[in-house]
Amino acid sequence: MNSVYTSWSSIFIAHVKRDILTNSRSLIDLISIVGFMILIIILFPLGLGPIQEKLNIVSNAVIWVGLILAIMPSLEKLLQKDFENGWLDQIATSPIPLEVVMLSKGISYWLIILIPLIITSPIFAILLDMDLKNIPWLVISISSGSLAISLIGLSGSALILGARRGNILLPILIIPLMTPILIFGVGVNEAIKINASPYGNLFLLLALTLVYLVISPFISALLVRIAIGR
Amino acid sequence: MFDWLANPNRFKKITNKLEPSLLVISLLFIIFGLYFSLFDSPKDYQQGDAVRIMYVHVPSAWLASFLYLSLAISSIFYLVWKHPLADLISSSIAPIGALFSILTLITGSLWGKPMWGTWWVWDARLTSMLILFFFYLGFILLHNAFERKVDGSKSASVLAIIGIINLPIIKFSVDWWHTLHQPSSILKFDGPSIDNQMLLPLTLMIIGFGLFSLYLIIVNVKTKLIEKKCEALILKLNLKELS
Amino acid sequence: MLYLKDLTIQRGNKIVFSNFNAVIRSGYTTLIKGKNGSGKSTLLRAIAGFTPLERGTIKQDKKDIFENNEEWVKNLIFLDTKNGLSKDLTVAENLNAWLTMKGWSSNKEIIKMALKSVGMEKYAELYISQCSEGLKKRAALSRLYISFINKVDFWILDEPTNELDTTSLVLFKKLVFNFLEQKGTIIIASHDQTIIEKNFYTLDLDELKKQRVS
Repeated sequence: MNSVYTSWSSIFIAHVKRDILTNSRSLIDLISIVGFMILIIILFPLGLGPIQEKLNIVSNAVIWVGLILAIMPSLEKLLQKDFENGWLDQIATSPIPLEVVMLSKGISYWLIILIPLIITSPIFAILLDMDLKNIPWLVISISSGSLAISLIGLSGSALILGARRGNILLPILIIPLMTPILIFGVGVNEAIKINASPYGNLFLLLALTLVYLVISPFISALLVRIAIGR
Repeated sequence: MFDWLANPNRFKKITNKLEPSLLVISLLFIIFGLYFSLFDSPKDYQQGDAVRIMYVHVPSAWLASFLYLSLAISSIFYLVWKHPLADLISSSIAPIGALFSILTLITGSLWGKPMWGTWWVWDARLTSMLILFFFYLGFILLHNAFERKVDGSKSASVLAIIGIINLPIIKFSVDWWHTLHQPSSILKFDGPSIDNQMLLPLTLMIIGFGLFSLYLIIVNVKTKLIEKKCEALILKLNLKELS
Repeated sequence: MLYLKDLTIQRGNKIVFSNFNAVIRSGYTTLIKGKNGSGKSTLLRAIAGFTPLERGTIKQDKKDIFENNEEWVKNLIFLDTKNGLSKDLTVAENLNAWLTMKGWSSNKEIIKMALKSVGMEKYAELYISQCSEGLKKRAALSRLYISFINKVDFWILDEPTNELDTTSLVLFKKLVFNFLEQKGTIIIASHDQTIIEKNFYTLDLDELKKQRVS
């Protein structure tokens, strides 16, 4: 029995490794996502005016909204690329269940795209004049919620496999699903601002992440099976 | 039960009988409901005549939510038992549900003007309804986004199921968000406790709207069945010409 | 032996197979013939477990292959016109990713031997985006060599030889020959019937369908 589990985990890691390797080759993707994120951030001071108080109020929300918007273009390709080149067919012959493979996809997407955004988020916070005491909480809240975001993105990208104009469709399908993450994520820092406890929001955020860790691999695997079955 | 109904011919037979009576009964309910709600129900002591919008707003909101539940159930039926009729039903429900959610949003905004002096208020219920509308929109768009219709039906059905899992979470989070940010609001959309005299027109309107949307769904499904038949006929003709 | 019993398979709204029966003999090559659109690829994808069956069963000896799908796909190599290669990886990296994904051990030696079996050892460090169609196909076919190291029972190949030149065709035939030697079973869909010379029989989908009608 034990060897079964060790081989499961090694195959799981093999899937993650392959995804990281493919994405590390096209660093352009990553650079453009972080660049897009910075541009979203820049638009706000330009739109609101360089008034520190105004920026301070919206900084937290703007970073979260920016995060959700910035990853949209990359989500479209998350599964579509492998669908077109036939890798999803090969994956379906992997000895581990497709659900586990999908979990690996969600996690590798998180490692490749969201970790860099988490690491750079303090810079965005400073650009928007966020109070220094809030910045650690921003990083904590984004770290807790971003896995859920990438898992929702995964099922969204599975929904549009083989669709026409999937790239335009995708945001309409998944932004509504991401609203709870945004609400609880922003809530963490809003609580800090009024000197209340951030843990209520944080726990809800973590609970949601757990929920999507369970749901999303199943939904995505179901959709991938449908896609390769046609 | 579903299998029995799933036969298109039987479905047509039953609905042919049902259709006219459904229309008449639902219109009767709506006419009486409108009469009571517009003329024979009390004004609200705070909102005055504006409260009468409730008789359209609340039934629409209920139906928008209820129709999404039905959409999800028929989508599950489609995915599990793969019966095409279930897909026809869900694709017929979607535009009607979307319509009711728009109606809710419009009446809500009309109601908001006299109450709060502004056309749109980020009230928790209205916000949830707005998100629900986007679920309907997503379903309709995804349903039509594929070269082959079946592919769209399957993907959209899964979306409907994702939606029904997520809607309670979204509803909860929006309520949470609302209490967090707006502790000062006094009036809620429920308004003050509902008077008995208001209950009668409200019930009539809900039943009327419900039956009317059932009528619309049936008409919609029947149209789609005919459409499908036409497509099959055209395909047959083309094949004959080829051979 | 693989028994296909009363298969009904739908693609989109079109029924491609209805009550289709066939037997795939172990230790042989089954060559699936048929016009364009006769359902060759669909049949292969159904056997691989991708396309769901509306009705019917596929049994390996007495076991339904879908009951223990993971067991079935583990010992199976599926290859169709989409090669399953990532543009962003080299030939060797693609093979390595595929090996580890299949749960098999992978090292430089194995990869080198596998690439050698299709005459690709010089191209190991070439990115797939730089490969011609023929090289891509060969890179994908190099997976077949793994059957001589790990336990593989089935090859399901869809048009494997379309882009191959004569030298690589010889290498491919050698791989097929060796696999049949060790009692492997091969299912190939191809227009070209000359690619297999020994130990094969054909399954003509058009013929089989005609028989059903008459």
